[in-house]
Amino acid sequence: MTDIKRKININFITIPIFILLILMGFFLPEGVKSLVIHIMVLSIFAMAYDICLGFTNQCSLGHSIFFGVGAYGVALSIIHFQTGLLSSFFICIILGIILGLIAGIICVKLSEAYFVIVTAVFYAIFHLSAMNMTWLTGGDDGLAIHLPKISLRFVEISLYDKIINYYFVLLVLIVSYFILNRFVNSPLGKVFVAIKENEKRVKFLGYNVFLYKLIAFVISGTFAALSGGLYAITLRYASADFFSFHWSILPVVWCLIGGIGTLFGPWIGVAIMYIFQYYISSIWHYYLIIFGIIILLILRISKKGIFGYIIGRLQT
Amino acid sequence: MNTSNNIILEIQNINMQFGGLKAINNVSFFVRENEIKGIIGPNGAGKTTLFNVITGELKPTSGKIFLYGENLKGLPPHLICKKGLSRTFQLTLVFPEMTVFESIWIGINSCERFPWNPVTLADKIENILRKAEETCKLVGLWEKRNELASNLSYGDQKILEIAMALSIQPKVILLDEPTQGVDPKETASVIEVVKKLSKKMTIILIEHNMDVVLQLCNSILVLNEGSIIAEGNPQEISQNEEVQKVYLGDIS
Repeated sequence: MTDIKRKININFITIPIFILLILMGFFLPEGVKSLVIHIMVLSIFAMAYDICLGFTNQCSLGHSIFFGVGAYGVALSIIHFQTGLLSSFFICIILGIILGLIAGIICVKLSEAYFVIVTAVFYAIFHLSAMNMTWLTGGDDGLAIHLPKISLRFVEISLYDKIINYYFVLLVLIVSYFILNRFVNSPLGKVFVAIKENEKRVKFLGYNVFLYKLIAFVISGTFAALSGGLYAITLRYASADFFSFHWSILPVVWCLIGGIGTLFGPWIGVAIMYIFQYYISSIWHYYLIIFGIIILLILRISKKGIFGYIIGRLQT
Repeated sequence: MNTSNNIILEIQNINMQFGGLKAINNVSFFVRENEIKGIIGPNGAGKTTLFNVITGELKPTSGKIFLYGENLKGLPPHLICKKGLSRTFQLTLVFPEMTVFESIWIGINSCERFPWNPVTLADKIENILRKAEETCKLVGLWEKRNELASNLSYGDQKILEIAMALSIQPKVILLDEPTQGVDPKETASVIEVVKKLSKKMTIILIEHNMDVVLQLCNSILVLNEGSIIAEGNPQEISQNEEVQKVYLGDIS
């Protein structure tokens, strides 16, 4: 039996990283641990965004709405309904799916530039509403969350403990990665890639392109919401700032640096960005200038980003 | 030639108007089962527009299209594909960063019950892999299955296009200039592939190369400025004076 051309299996890279992360949890100093938690949470966001941009070529500038809705989904359900942590994440995911469907049905049919603009309009609506509806969202000051304990049958664990927080986030990252990686390697994922390559041809092979792009958008939105929820838990607050344009642009930057369409690449983008921020920002205030130059250099050398470049080298 | 009398595709009074330009003017014809129908005509005669109308890419201003007696008008392209009508494009539309095998795989997957299956690993679905292998071998791209589509020669890209159109198991296949821009040696292999297909399915062929048309087709339709000016078998067409005038050139 023949096979589809052997691509580099990214599990060979990610599984060692997961093992490393599991082992590292016990040894990392507090500050670095927070940094790694941060990177892991946002890696989920980056992966989710990659499904949209890297697999179906939909450059959304409105993904902050998912991030913010996820964060508020968790925060508000804990504050107002006293839900447990896991059920609040369940609510957050459901909200992500619903919002993904609504926004998707409106946006996905539009072609490139119009899609970008309309998704950006979505971010603007959500950001302004969140800023003004202070009774619900707390506006710019945000809402502080008091984290409920997770009760396993015998023990109760609390995410206030940094090490628990670390492993909780790591667990969600691992699960999200394996789910998304499965999607990408399934027939669904192959159709996504074909849509990225040539939308018109896919239509004439009997696929309903709109439906597939919508599925990609919803999957992407759902995991972005999950990441937003985790972020709110990690910082223990949610604010209207989560809807800001900042959070729409960042995933694009991560994906571009790391390599779009690789699922793992965006992690590298997140890691580079935050490690850089962590170490350099204390030395020089205008560190973003250096960062901008680095982005330009990376994209100049390889349009497919760092990981895309590495894969390209390994395959030839 | 074993053409039966079953009419498989029927086009009735199709008109296509772009603003002031009438691209297709009251075109009616039908295609019988297992026939190879050639459509010829000078550039701008409306051949590709006719294909776009039949496959649902464009909505005709008026007229009806029947496939097996079923009206196709108003259906979106992907549903028309599902009914068994497949096409290739004049300028090749392949998936540049995908391999030959993957491209064909995508087409075959679309006929599966769950083409959106998110659970199974794509390279573990045996029956799709087997069918993709058969299709690769049928068109003679088996040796090149792991090449990226963008690295293929233009002739092979044309063959890949045909293979992709074929992969969705159509009943009628519309080929839009399969030998355009292809060198003579590769033209021969494209013709070979078309001949192989003709045993299994109905083909409508747009082509400028008269040798190819006369060699392959059972029946030929000549379009000029959106209207049919002649229809008949290859002998009739090559002797028709009007056709010679508008298309083959005024030799005498």
